[in-house]
Amino acid sequence: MSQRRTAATTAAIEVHDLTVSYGAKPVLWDVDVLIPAGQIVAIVGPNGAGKSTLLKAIVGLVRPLTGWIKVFDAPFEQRRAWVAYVPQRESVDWDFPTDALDVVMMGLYGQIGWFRRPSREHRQRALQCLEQLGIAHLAQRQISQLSGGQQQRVFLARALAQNPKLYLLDEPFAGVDAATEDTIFRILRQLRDQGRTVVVVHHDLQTVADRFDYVVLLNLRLIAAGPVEEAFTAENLQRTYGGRLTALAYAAETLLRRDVARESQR
Amino acid sequence: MYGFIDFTLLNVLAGSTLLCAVAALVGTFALLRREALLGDALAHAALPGICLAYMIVGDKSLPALLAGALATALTAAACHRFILWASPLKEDAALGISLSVFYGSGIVLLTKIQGLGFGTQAGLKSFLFGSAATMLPSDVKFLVALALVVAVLLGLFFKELKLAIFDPEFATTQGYPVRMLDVLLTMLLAGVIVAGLRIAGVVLMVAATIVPPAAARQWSDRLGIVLLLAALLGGVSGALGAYASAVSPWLKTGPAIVVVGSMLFLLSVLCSPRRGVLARWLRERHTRLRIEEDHLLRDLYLVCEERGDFAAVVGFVDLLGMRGLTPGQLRRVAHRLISRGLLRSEPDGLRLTDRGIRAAQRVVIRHRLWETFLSKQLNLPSDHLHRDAEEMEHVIDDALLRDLQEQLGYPTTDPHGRRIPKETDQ
Amino acid sequence: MIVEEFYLLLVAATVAANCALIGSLLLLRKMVLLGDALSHAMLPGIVVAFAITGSLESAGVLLGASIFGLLAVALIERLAHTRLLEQDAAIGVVFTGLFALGVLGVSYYRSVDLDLDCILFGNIELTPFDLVHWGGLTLGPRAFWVNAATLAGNALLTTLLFKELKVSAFDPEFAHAQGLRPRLLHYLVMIAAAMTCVAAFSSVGAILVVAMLAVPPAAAYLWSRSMARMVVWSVLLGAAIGLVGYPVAYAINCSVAGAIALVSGICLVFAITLAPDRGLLARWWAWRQARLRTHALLLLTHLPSRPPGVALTELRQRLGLSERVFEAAVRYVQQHGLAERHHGRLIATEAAGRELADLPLDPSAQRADEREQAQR
Repeated sequence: MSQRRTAATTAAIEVHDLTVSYGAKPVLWDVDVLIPAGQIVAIVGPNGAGKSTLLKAIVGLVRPLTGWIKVFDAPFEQRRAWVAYVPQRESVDWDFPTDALDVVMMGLYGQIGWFRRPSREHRQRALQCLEQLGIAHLAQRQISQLSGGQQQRVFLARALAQNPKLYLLDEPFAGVDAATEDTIFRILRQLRDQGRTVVVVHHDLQTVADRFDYVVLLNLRLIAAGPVEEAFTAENLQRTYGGRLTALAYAAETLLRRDVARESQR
Repeated sequence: MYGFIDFTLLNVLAGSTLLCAVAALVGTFALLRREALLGDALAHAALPGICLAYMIVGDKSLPALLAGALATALTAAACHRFILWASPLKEDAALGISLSVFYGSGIVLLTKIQGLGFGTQAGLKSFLFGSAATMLPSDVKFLVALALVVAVLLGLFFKELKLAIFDPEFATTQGYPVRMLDVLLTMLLAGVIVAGLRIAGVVLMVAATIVPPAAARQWSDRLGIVLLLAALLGGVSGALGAYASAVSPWLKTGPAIVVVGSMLFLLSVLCSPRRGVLARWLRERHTRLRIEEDHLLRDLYLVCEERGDFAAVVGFVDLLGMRGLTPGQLRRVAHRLISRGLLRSEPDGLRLTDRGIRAAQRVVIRHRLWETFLSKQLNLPSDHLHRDAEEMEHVIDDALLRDLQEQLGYPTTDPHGRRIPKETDQ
Repeated sequence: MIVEEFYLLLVAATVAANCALIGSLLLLRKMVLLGDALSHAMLPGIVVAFAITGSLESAGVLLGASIFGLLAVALIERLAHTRLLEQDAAIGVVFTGLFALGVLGVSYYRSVDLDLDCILFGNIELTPFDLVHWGGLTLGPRAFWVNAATLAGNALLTTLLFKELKVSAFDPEFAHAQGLRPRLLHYLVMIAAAMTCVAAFSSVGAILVVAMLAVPPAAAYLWSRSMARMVVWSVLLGAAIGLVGYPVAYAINCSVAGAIALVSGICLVFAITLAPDRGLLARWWAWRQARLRTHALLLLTHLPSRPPGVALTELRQRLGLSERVFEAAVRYVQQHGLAERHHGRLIATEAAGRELADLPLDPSAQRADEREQAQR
């Protein structure tokens, strides 16, 4: 607890007035949140609350209807090199013909740049990252032969290889064994202590209180955000998981059903 | 003489209509199983069977050729399933492989037949390109029987098939023979395609199983209706295509049917009332116009409210300043509102009519009520309210309005301290 | 005659290698059937070109086919993008519609003798007779040069953008977050596929194109552990199948295209059964080994580490295993030095203790990485 930084001065992510919809289905409604730098941040909320969508909006994978997002005080496009995004494990085809080391090297592609090939040093870097996660011995293994926990470690190693200031992890603990979860948290804490920011979409409420510094409670709109001690309260949880949002949800759907306009203009 | 021509035409018409309707029925299930292109592989895989049957039987007897075609088509379907089961290869690769390898072996057999002097293979090839113009009464009878079989089977197993396609795992736990249903669907698809090959040809048969279902899917979300519509659209394209080719001889029946089907598909994608491209565009346009009108009404209302006189004439310059509209935009919006009797044009500006005032009130009520809702119920800071309400004022319907009023206890002022008017106010 | 045979082999190998290269990119994007669709969708382009130039040998045919190939690609993407229907259905609708238009075009020009068969089945047997001459020199078959040129283009695309193509096929969301433009790359691959199909299809016919797009990449996919190896193997296998096809066709006296498709089918059967790691046999063997090891470990948990050990018959009854399985397990533990046999009784060794400590039986003995390894 003592290591936790108090009231970070800079915001890692600034989300302003963000509204996102998939087709006619509203996913995020006018979300306004500051995520401070140098902390381990949990994004918590029920299924379909827009947690993953928030991450995707940050890295420009979904276009917002309204609002803007800044990463370290600039649009994401200018901060790409500072951000590592770790998608959900199921989002890729693990039958792809490649090995663990190669996946980790993918984390360096952005830095290597177009047309150029990875060098020996890049391989070395990737290997080190695998080592940090304790799976260097699996470097040459075909990715389809890795267990779920190992696949998740490979994904985190790929993010480490990017050496970013901000980590965005989408459900990294889904379908992962306890040992992997411990390892990952250990590394996340190291990263935090080096001044990096870690944002995790999380679904296990049990572990929020002792493993995260800061929490963002989300259910379609922002319910609460703040240091865990302040924001992770029974009242806020009640509002997140059981709160009365019917009017808003109904309004949101009405709006977006009729207002397909801007969506299809994009 | 004329009677004979009419009879032939009638044959072709009836046959094409039936065939396309049946193909659309089985195709709908393939489409919903996300296996739209399975028919492509099945149709190509008929070739080796046709050749084999000819080599074995020694003549072009129809039942033998059909049986051979069906046999290899089903073998190809089995190979496709086997590849998916036995390897990490995906759907598309498995289909591409079964399609090309079976068709390739068919070509090998075809050239063997030529080389071994089995006589001409021309008849066999026409099996693949189809010649609907030569449809005989016996063909039509056969198609009627086929249509009956397919319709009866699909009707009998309708709900089981629906469940097996939608959620195979649940269906299995409920004790439905999902695998058998899968085989049934594949057999029906193969049967219809093989039966239609000689009439419509490979690619055109594939089209008959994909295009009408894809078109029908645009109009409804209910399986039963999609099925009926697909059959209908298939039948219509079959009939129209056959008729067109009867009228102008260079239009071959098969391709003509597909072209008609494609047009129906385009029409569906463009014009379907809910999902259609055109409908989306119209809705978008309608919303845009509504928003412009609502904004102008509210702007006028605000100016009048400030002056304490709702019958005041508001100058164009004031209105232009409020939203940075160009004079042209303002003129267009004002013109629409004038023609609806909500505004009156005065020499030095615009004035709200009585109806206009009521319309403006509607917008203002919704705007301010929504601001109150956001501020009271969602604790949003006051600088966030306006932009959101700006959008919501156009879409809050009466039900939601009552709901909001009730929830908020019929407030009379908004968070900025302005009065929320009542609908009957003047 | 020898020269013609050489030319034919040259064309077959080039076309096959070219298709196999682009096919492996399509396979990793799950779009193999695009090839089939393209080969049909370009028919109207050929007809239009024929209507304008009056010949099937002009460069206009290539141009017309490319235009319609790209049109088909654009239509498919556009339709799939509206989310009104699945991608495969979009492919099906577009290619059948365009093909039907093409067939109508052909029947409209029937009087001018445009042979549909010739267009559809191409004719690799005829390619050695369509030669390129330059200043009195014979430079080989035109089909070779056309396909070699597209092969060069595709090879350049694949080598220059290899890592970008890889990451955008494997994890497009991640690629996007890194600024690697996966959509742009997707379009590049589709355009390359269209150009490849035009080149290959006009010289050897649709069926060979589809076979070479689908089969060598699929076999290489099963056989390789990295994408680079997959692409290289796919190209080599494609070329080899192309080369073997002609002798086979000659031997059994059939069409070369058909023979090539047949040979590739046989290759695939081998790949599916024999591929290391991903083949049927390999996976069956791995499954058996894993089961044997599980039985052996199960046996160890019931084994005392001190004399007098346990009698085999008693042990078998306690475990409730069949005789065959039990004997295999006993052999396994003995071979791996996990147990010793004294006078018909089995005693666990020290190694067995270490082996069991790695199993997640006792929570205190768990260490993360070792546990993971044990699971593998």
